[in-house]
Amino acid sequence: MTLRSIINTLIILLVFSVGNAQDESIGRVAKTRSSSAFFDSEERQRFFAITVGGRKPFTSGDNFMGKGLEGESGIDFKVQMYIYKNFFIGLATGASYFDVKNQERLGSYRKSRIAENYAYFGYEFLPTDKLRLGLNMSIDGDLDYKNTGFSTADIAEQHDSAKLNRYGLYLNYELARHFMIYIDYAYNVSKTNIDVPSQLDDFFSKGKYHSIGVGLVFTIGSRDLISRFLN
Amino acid sequence: MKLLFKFFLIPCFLTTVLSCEVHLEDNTRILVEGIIKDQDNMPVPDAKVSVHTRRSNFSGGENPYLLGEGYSASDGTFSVTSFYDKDEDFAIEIALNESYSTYVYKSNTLNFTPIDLTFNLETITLRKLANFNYNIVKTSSASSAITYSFRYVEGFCLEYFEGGTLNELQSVCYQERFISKTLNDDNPDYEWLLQVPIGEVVEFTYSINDEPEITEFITINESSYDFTFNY
Repeated sequence: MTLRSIINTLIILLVFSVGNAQDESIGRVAKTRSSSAFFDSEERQRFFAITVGGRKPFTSGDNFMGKGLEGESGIDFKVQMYIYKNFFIGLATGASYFDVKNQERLGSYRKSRIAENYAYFGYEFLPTDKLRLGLNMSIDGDLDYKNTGFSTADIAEQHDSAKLNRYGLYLNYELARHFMIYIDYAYNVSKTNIDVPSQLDDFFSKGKYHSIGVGLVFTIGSRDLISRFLN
Repeated sequence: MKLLFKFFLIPCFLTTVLSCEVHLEDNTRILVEGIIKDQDNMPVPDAKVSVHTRRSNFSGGENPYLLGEGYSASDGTFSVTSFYDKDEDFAIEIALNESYSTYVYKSNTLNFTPIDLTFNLETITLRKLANFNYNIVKTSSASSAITYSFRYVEGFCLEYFEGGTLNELQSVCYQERFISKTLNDDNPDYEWLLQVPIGEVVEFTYSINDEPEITEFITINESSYDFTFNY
């Protein structure tokens, strides 16, 4: 299944769910029970979560990112759908911005923007009544490095591409039934498609960066996807 | 419609045709490496190694199309990572300061990619230069004229490579230069500075009042060589 088909499926489900969400949540409130479990909770079940936030990337390791780039800022946008209980899949798009700190090892440019698009899955735990702890991992992700800041405006940009492996965790704090704030951490490994001389292969084949982010989460619905078909 | 054509379509067409934008190779880095020594076989540290595209003119001035840049280490070795461009004026320049000669590796890379994406320049010799400051002064009170010339070796080396092979016909390496001038009562004195590799011989030929030519050979053996000739 391609990333595009996953996106289309999620958009259809999101539109479908918005129409039902309001009535459904009102009905649920009436039969809420005061139970709270670590792995799942019927009254805290959601269908969609939409995340918007910012982040700070940090490069690391003896690779072109760790030695040559310095993280500046980033933005995140995610939509995740709860498939069964708190098991979810999602789509994310975002960008991270870096300054070049070692042009001798990377080339003569000053800035790099990494556009990130990936699908992911994970599970959300409920350690307390207000907190949600999620673990996630990317399934299929693409990175586009747009390198800019050359010595002349005639060289506008140069692009490198890579595959992304991303491992993340987040902590959400529920401010209201459908509104939360979050803090998250992610470890990103970028497997590049850059053609380099053999002696630079180890240096350019992988780039590693961490990110710490904060932002807002909006949720929709009160039942996971499979429950909608079972009940 | 005519106005639309005149004020919109024509500028668009001209912008497209005359665009100077350079499109660097995506997902590609090259390595430029070698060692720099002087004429005494001693390593030359801190020499600047710069990789350029669209470098057609070496008569002075900075070239803005810089793709990669670095410096030689204390043992004279250098290793510079750079972007790559397919261009008929691709060049690698090595220079230290005005006290040393400049070396240029030039190539047409439109249909050429180096083996293993590496330009190994091996040993590059930068020759120490002397400032040869000559001063022709009229001291005789009688009316007189002098025609003189200097034949000397220029402190510049450009090697042109085709597909990795040196093309000597298009190379200009420590080439012999010739300048001449006539001075008379209206324009009696002249002073100028030449940069000549240390150890080279400058050939000075003169003729006063159309008398037979006399030639002197001057061996440049110090970094600042003042030469004054009275007639």
